[in-house]
This record gives sequence, structure tokens and C-alpha cells, in this order.
Amino acid sequence: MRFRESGILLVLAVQVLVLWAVAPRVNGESTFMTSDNLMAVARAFSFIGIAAVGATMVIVSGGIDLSVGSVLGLTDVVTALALAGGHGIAVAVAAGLAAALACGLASGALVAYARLPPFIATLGMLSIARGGSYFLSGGRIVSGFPDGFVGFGQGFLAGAVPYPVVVMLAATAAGAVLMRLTSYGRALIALGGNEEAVKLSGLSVPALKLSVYAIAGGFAGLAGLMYVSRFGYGSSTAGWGYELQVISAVVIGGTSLSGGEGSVLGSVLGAAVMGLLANGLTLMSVPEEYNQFVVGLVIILAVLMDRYRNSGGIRP
Amino acid sequence: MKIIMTAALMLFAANVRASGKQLTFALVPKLLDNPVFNYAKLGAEKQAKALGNVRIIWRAPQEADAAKQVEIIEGLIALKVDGIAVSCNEPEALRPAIDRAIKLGIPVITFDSDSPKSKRLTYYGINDVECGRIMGEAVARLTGGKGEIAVLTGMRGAFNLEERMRGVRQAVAKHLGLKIVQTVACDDDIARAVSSIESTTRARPNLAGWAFVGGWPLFAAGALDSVDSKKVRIVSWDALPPEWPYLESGKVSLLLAQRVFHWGSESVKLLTAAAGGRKLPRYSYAGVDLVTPANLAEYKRMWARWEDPGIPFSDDPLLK
Repeated sequence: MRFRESGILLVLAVQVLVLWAVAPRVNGESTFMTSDNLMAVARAFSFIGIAAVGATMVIVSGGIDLSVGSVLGLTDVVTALALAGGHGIAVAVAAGLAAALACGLASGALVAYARLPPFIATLGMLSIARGGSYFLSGGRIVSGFPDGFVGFGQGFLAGAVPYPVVVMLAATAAGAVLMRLTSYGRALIALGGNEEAVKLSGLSVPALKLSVYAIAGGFAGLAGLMYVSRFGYGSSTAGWGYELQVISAVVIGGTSLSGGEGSVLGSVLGAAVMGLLANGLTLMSVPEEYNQFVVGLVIILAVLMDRYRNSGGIRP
Repeated sequence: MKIIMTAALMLFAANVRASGKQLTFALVPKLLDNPVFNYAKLGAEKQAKALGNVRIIWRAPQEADAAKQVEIIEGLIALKVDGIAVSCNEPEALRPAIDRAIKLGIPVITFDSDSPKSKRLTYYGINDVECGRIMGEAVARLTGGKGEIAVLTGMRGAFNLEERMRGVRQAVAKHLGLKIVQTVACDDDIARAVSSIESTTRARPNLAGWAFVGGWPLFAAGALDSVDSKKVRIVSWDALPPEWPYLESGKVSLLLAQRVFHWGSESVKLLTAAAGGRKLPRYSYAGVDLVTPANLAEYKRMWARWEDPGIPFSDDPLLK
């Protein structure tokens, strides 16, 4: 059995060791290697990580979803408006998720039945969902939620692990099981590898496509729920540009943009690489002028390392 | 009025009366997706209603893109609107379009973010360097002039943010005991602003103060949980409603409030004056309101008046 996350794990390990060694020390203790810091970092990248679970499935199936950031933002606004309107947490959460699923289903239908290229369908959805959140919020910041709601996003399981991180771990596990242990997951991989073969095997290609975009919408919505619960505000600016961060995480995690192979766990680890990088750059006071430069270098290096590892004959 | 004003230059406060002619003014903020500009829109519409013969066109790119703003202004020139007010994403990029409109006889003014070298008639908004200095001085006062300071900014290279930081640096440089040890940029991303503050707080246990040259983190709840408010003094830009709880809890000591409603209402007034042939001064600096825990209640009352479509700006005590 191949272990395709070994490349990204190696990248992550190198990164952790380097940051541990070079991050400033206060009273002899590393500012990096504390559970407080690591949990804060994990919470910061949890939104990207959760959205990356669904995005991975889409990319593995041979598609792409550019709308995840906008769908996150729409969920943020819809949930916030429902909460501020006094509809209660359950209704607000359901409304937010429903909006996200609707976006995913619409993208999926355009790809599966109208046969639009995924890039175009989800690029359209990127604009539509962003426009929808602007229209619904009227450009205003929506805030003032019940304590129980922000209590979740800002709270900790057993006083140590932030709830958004717990949700990310659960989402990762669910995504990994779906991809590896079910015939549905195998069908997605096959779809990304050879669509004709899937057609000939009697599976419904359109149904597979429709469902995978809906799932991606659902995970983007879940990320949006964590976002609105963590930050306690709804705004049409939420999640702006996150699609590129999500796709970067997926690619760093070893998933091929041409489809047919990839790993949900790898993508979440890819999000971790980017989160640790941002944390490390701030801890070490790297001037902002160099930040983006370093981020770009690390993305390229991480993917190169992963390629190198995976070309070393560990492929089945 | 406890709210302090640095420069209350309201030149056309009460005496602008529109002539009977129907006027169409276009307002072009930096982008649609920024809540700040929503208040400007409200202000513009309220002012237009009060004047009676003014119609507002509100146009902006979805994202802060200077090239798209140029396209919009070219379109407005073709529409032959009676005046344009624009908040520039990039001063130089907007300049040719602004100059062309002026050449064709369409009055153009800037608000919030200027294009100083263009032929625009006037600029309504704060003096960013000056307000940056006020911010730096406030940090110095609150920290007793001693210790390490960090600065939070948005997009590196954004003209007005760089100007504000210049002001902060100038003021801090006057205090030998104060040192800016770190500048972090959040790329206008609220989530990133919050995690940058968390990281910096860990790396800098001796931090005495923060200057936020934009309000990003304060739009989120629980953004300053990692900060010990007994040790760290925070001064931030803007005083929009989501930021108020941070003053109430004492996590933030001072907010520098821009006149966001007046970006709209004053722009409409200035354009009306220009359309009527009045000569405008090159700069119409707006004041900045210094909002503290002590005068927040008063500021909230002012805010409610600005937001209320039934109360015209001409009754505004700040403008008298």
C-alpha cells in the first residue's frame, strides 16, 4: 500500500524543526513550540483546511472549484443575517449550509448536465455567490449574535483544542474515509483518471459530478459556519480570495491538478504548511516586503519535494 | 461636544442650495465589498434627498482594482453625468481618466483616497499623514512614551495606509523610549489580521502598544483575546459599530473615526457647489473624531443621527 502523504509530512516535519530552532525564545522557551501557539495556528488555517477537503474531491475527480471562498462568504452572511434576525442557532446553521449546498448543486448541474467546463461554471459561481452575499448584507457588517454561537467558534474542547480544529479533524476523517474506503471515492478517482472508462463501467458520470460539487459546496459551507462562529460577524468580504489558498493547500498536499490522484489528508497538511509558514514569518519578524516572496518559494519547494518523493518508485 | 476635532473644515455646510436644474452625480468608491462605503452611500442618498433635485449613481468595481475604476469613470463620462466623486484605488492610475473628465467639463472630486496630482477640483477626507501622527502621539501618551510598538496595516503599497504609517513613524520617532519593532500586513483579510496579532503577541512579550492603521481585526469578535489589555495599549483606525465593544471592554483605548457618512453627503454638496460654478479649494479636509471609552455613548448618539434618514445633515451639530 502506498503512503502518498509521506512527501508532505516530510515538508511539514522540516518546517516544524526549522521553526522550532529559529523562532525567538522568551525566557528560554520557544515562542513557536507551545500548544497555545500551535492551536492558534491550527484554528487560523482550519477554515482553509475544511474547505480543502471538498476541493480535493473535486480536483481528484478531474474538476476544479473556484467558488469556495465566495461560498464561504455567502454562508457567513446568510448565517449571520438569520442569527441577527433572531431565528435561533439551528435555523441559522441550516440556512447557511443550505445556501452553500445550493451553490454546490448549481455548479455541479452546470458541469454535469450543461457540460460547462468546471473552470467556467465555478468562476461564474464565484461571482454569483459573492454578489449574493453583497446583495443580502447590503454591504453592511452583520453582528450581534447569541453567546452560545460565538462560544463554539471561540471555545476549546477540553480547554485545549479549538472547536474549529476539532471540526476540521472530523471533516478530514470523513473525507478520507469517503475517498479511500467507499466505492464512491474510487469512482471519483476513476472519473479523474479516465472518464470514458467510468462511462463504460455503467456508472452515471453526471450524477458523480453533480454530487462532488455539492459535497465541495457543503464543506465550503461548513468552513463558513466555523468562520462566522469564530469571528462573530457576517460580511460580504469574508473569505475573499480563499479559493487560491484552498487550491494551493490541495496542490501542496500532493493532489494532481489533472485529476485521478490525491489525498484529503495531504490537502489538510498542505493547509498546515501554509498556516505554519504565516505564523513563522510573523514570529520571526520577517519584514512584510519579503513575506509573499517567501510564501511563493515555499509553495514551489513543497511541491518539488513532493514530486521528488513520489517519483522515487513508491508508486504502485 | 467632547469629541475632539482636528480640522473642522465644512466650507459648504449650510449654504449650498441647488438650483432648480436636475443633477446626476456619480459616486465611485474603491470597491463594492467594503462595509465602510455603505455608510457613505447612505450619506449621499440622504443628502440627495434633502437637496431634492439630485440623483445618485453608485458604481464601483467588485474588488479594489484601479483599472476597473478607470473603466467605470470612462463610462460615466460617456453618460455625461453632472459630476463624479471617486475614492481612488491608486492615485496615478486614476489620473488620466479624472483629467479627461475635467477637460470635458465634468466636475470631479475625490473623497477618502485622493489623486493629488490630478486636476480633480477638491479632495474631501482626512489628511492621512496628519492623522497617522495623531495616532502615533496617542500611542506615545498611552504607553508613557516607553516600550515596543507594533503596527498593523492592510495591503502593502496602498497609498493612504502608507501615508498613515508615515505619520505614525514620524510621531513615534520623537519619543526616544518608543520603538516600532514590527509591522505586519494582513492584506485586508480580517482572519489574517487576527492570527497575525496572536503570533506577534507571542513573539513579543514586552509589547507595550499597537497601532492599527485600519480597523480590520476589530470587525471580528474575540480578536484580542490573546492580548493582555493591562500591558498593551491599542489604538485603531475607524469607529464602526462592530468595533465599539472593544472600547467598552477596555481592550482598545482609542479609535480614530473617519466621517464615513460625510464621504457621501459632503461629496454631494461639493459637487452641487461645483456644478453651480463655485470654485472649490484644492483640499477640503475632514476632521477625525477621537472616540474613547469615555465619550463612546455620545459618539453612538451622533452615529444614530447620521444613520437616521429622517435627520438631515444640515441639523448636524458637528457641522456647525
